[in-house]
Order: sequence, then structure tokens, then C-alpha cells
Amino acid sequence: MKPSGMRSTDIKTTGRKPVSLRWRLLVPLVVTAIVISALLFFTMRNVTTHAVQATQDALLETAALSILEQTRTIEDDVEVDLPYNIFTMLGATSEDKVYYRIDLDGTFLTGYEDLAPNIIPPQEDRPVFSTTDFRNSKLRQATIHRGFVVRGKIKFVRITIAQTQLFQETIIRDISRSASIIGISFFGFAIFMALLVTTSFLRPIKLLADAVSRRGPNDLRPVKHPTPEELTPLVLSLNGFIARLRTTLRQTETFIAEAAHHIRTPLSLVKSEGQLALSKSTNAHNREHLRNIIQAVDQSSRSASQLLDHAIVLYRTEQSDELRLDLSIVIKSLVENIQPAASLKDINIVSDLDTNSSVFILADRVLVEVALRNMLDNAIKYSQPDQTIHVTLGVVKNMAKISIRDQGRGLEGINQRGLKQRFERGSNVDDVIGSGLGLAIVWEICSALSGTFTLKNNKGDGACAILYLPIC
Amino acid sequence: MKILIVEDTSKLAKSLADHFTLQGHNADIVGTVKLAEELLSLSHYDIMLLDIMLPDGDGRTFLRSLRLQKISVPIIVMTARSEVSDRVDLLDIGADDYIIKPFDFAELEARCRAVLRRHTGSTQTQLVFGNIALNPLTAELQTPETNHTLRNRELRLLEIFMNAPDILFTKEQLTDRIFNISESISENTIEVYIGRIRKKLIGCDVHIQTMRGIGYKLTQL
Repeated sequence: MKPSGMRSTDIKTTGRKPVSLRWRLLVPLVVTAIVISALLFFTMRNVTTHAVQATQDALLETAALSILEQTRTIEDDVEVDLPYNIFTMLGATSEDKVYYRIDLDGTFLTGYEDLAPNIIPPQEDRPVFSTTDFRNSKLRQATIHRGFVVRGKIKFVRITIAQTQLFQETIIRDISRSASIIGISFFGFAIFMALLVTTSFLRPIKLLADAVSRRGPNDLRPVKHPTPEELTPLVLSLNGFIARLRTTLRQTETFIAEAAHHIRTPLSLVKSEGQLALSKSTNAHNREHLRNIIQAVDQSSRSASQLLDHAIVLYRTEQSDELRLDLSIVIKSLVENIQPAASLKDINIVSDLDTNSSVFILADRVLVEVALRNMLDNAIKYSQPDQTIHVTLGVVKNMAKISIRDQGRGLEGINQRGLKQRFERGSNVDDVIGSGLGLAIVWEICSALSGTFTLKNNKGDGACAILYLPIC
Repeated sequence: MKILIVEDTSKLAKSLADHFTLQGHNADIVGTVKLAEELLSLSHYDIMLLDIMLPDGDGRTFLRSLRLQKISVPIIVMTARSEVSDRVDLLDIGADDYIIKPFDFAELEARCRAVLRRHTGSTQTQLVFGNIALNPLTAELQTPETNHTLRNRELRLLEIFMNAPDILFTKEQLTDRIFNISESISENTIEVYIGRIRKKLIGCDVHIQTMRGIGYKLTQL
């Protein structure tokens, strides 16, 4: 169990880790923002390029037509009067260079001979536009032609006028920079909005989770935290689960208590009757048999008790009821309670507790007592009459240190790791009743309370069990 | 000692009562809270042994109500429930001690004595026989020559003898009352403790007499 369950735990998943809701929301929003920003940038750039291109083409067409308009037939020849104002018009907006070429019936007349030699427009007075590299510059050129009748024959005058594109490139560069700034700004804003939307979307889930996590380990009331209607099925499922858990825990607690009652009561009767029979019996053989029966009852009883203790430890670890405990008081009352049992064996328990300096821990009292009782039980079990068990309490590096040192037979034939295992016992304890669960229970409690437990042989005789628990 | 046993498992209650009767005490048995209340109102008891799960109520509720009524009879709760889940509550609601079933009679007796000593305090009458006096509370044995502090088993052994001077106890009877049955001991171990007490009684007008093949008794010279 352990929610402790309700404690903060790492959720282990098998296989591929599911994508978080935040990423599920964030990724599509970010991708959309990137696409829209890119579209915005390229659209602005294209529209501008086309607009600038169209403007330049219109100027080139006007210039070419102007030249054609100044072309006429004189007697047997064609005369072209170059209108120089068109060069002024083309050069008015920038430092761009202007080139021209005039051909008559495919024969070069004037201008730049290497400019667009092979372009023949398909129709008269309809310019053909093209872009080309000319003398290390990029040119936009318009070629137009018109037929003139000379001596009964049609002669075609072809005019090509071209202009470098420095001005257009400057405009496109400026517009592209602006488009980039707008695109990036839009992207940043979109990301900010996406984060805002994601956080806002997930906030009710986080608030619900916080409300559930803040609950104490025993708080199994239904969740009544206000949530959006979309989360209502989740809250309903959670409340259903809590109700089932509550019932199961109650049944577990009742079951453990009743199991203990039903196991121990008949054992108790067998043991009492056995002891009575023993006290009335004078026959040595019968007494030996009765002793064996009683010892078997003790063995069963101890095993049953420790199995029940173990069940309770598992249950309490999940359902822990943490309190601020003064360890010196807990140990003192435990020693007082266990002293009569120790005294029966003439074993003395000496506790070195400074009642003026309390050591506080935050833990479930039942778990702490079970751990200490098992440690003390062990020390008593393996001690001989007239020996002393020393119980000390101190603080080492923010940890409460409880040590229980006996003068018994010590540990033999088993290592620390083995003693953690359930039903494992040392090789030198066959003559002592035990189940091999006591120390395993201490280990489990120690682990649940974030402490450490060590068991070692003393320098002289006996063993020393030390439990470290975090102080508060 | 007059004991009230409140236990609904009648056979268990009877065997407890038989044990106390054998030890020379008076024990009454009841199986319900109602009968326990009636007996407590009619008679005085030195100690009460109380089971938790009773047919007509919870022993803890009964215990709490007794303490609310200022009834201070020493109470040892016998519980068959889990050792850890009840004990904290039991002491808080007024139990003097508790014992987990199944238990050794020797441990039950030891707990009864400890509780009675706490209740009667140092005013408890010393046990006196001949020229020795034993204080069970402080475990001090006064002899004409010196005072001895006894270990637990020595104290319990001498207490048995001084409560019934001149009465013969067999080795078996003494072993059953001194040692835990689950301990692996020989019945001759009792001789070790008899020997220790005898050493402390040197120079006194009482001694532990060996009845060969039968047992021991405390007699005055």
C-alpha cells in the first residue's frame, strides 16, 4: 500500500513515457506560431518584390514606348530620336544604371550591342520583360518592337531598355527586415500567449492536485474542490476511489484486529491450560511434554504476533499518522512497560535518557514503538540472567540515535543483509524462540521513516542495534 | 489478593482463576461488563484483569467509565488484539498495565505485583519472618547483620517463601513461578537461586530447608 502513499513518490511507468498535457498543448500552438510567422514573412517579402518589380516594369515599358513613339519613317529610312528625358525619369529614384539597344530588322543600330541580342517579342507594341546578368549587375529589361513600312516593305524596329535593380534590392531588403521584425514579434507574442493559455488551461488541474496533496495521510474525505465541468468526471472517479480505499482500509484494520483476536484467544487458552496442567503435574516426563507444548504455543504466538505486526506496519506505513514525538518519553514508557518481562529473566534495562533535553521526531508513534519494541525484545531474548541492556538516546548529524546494547551472544553466521530478510535468523540462535521477522520489521519501519538501522557485535560481548531517525 | 477476572472466554477465565487459586489468591470470574459492574459495586478487589472484547461492550469503554467514576481499582488489560494498535490508547484511558495474550502466568503475576506496588507505594507492609524483613517494593532484604538488594528472581523466590512460611514447595512449583516456560532451563536451575538466598540468610534465624526428593520450605531455626 503506502500513499503514504499519499507521500510524494516517483511515478514509475513502463514503456514510453506519456507526453505531458503542457507539451500536448504547447507544441501545436508553437508550430502554428512558427508557420504563421514564416507565412507572414514570405508573403510580405513576395508582395513587396512583385510590387517593386511591377513598378520597374511599368517604368521600363513607358520608356520603351516613348522611344517607339519617337521613331518614324522618313523617306526611305527609319529615324529614331532618343528622348533623353526617359533616362532622367529612370534615374530619378536611385543610382541605378540604364542601358538600351535599338535594332532595325535585326541589325544593331545604337546602344549596347551585347544587351539582349536574341529577344524577339511575339507581338508588336507588347513588351517582353526579363531579368538577366549584364556586366556583373543584375538587370531588368523590357524589349518591344514595332513594324514600319519603308518602300513598301515592313521593317521592324526593336528597342530594348534595361535598368539595374539596386533600388529594388534596397527596398526588398528593407521590407524583408521589417517583415522579419514583425514575424519574430508575432512569434514571440504567440509563444507568450501559448504559455499563458497552457498555464491557464492546466491551472485547475494543478489546483486540484495541490488540494489533494495538501491533505493529511488520514484525510479520506471526498474531494469538494471547485473545478471546471470538464474535470468533474475526474473528481467523481477520484472520490469513488477514495471511498473504496476508505472501505478497504477500514476492513484491513478490522481484519487485522479480529485476526489477532481469533489467533491469540485459542492459543491463550492452550497456554493457560498447559501452564495449569504443568503446575499440577509432578511426573517429569509429563512435565517435559507439557513444556514442549507450551513452547510450541509460544513459537506460534510469536510468529502470529510478528506477522500481524508486519501487516500493521505495512498498513500504517500507508496510513501513517505523523506526530511530533519526544523520543525520550516514548523510550521511557516503552522501557517501563517491558521491564517486568525483562525482570522475569533477571535482566536489567538501563536507559540513559536526559529528560531535560528532548529529542523530537516527526513520525507515526505506533511505527516507532513497534521498531523499538522489536529491538528491545531481541536484546532481552538473547541476554542471559543478570546481564544488562543499555538504552541510549542522542543526536548525531541531525539524526536521533537510539542504541540498544546487550551483553548476549552477539551475531554469528549472518550478515546485516541477511538479517533484513524475513524469516532469516542467525546461526547461533536455534535454541531461542523466534520467527526471523523482528529485525525485518525494524528495517521496514526504518526505511518508511527515512532512517537507518545498523546491527553489529560489541567490542566485548553482545550486539548493539542502532536506529537513526531524522529529527524535526 | 482478591482478583476480578473479566473475560468472556469462560475456559480461559477459569484456568486463570484456577491458577490464582492455586497460588492462594481469591479470584472471581465474570464474562460481561454488566456483571463486572455489579461485582465491583458489591465487593472490593485488589486488582482487575480486564479483557477488551466483551459480548456486551468494549472493555476500553468500561475502563474509561470506571476512571470517570473515580474507581481506582488497579486494572491490567488482557488484549488479544494487535500489540501495537491498542497499547497507546489503553494507558491513556487509565489502564495500569496491559498484557498480550497468550501470556505466561509468571509474567502476569510479575505485572500484577508491579501494579500493586505502584498503587500501595512504600507504605506496603514489609514481609517479616524471624529476624529478616523483605520489602518487595525496594527488593531490600534486612538481616541482623546487613541489608541486601535482591535480584528479581531472588526477590520472587523469597517472596514466595515468606508469604507461606513453613509451607513446602516442590522444585517444579518454584520453577514454574520463577522461570518463563519458554526459556530453555533445567529444573535444577532453581537450586542456583536457592543457593544464592541461602548465602544471604547466613547468620539469620531462618533458613531454607531442603526436603530431599520433595522440595524446599522456609523455616525458623
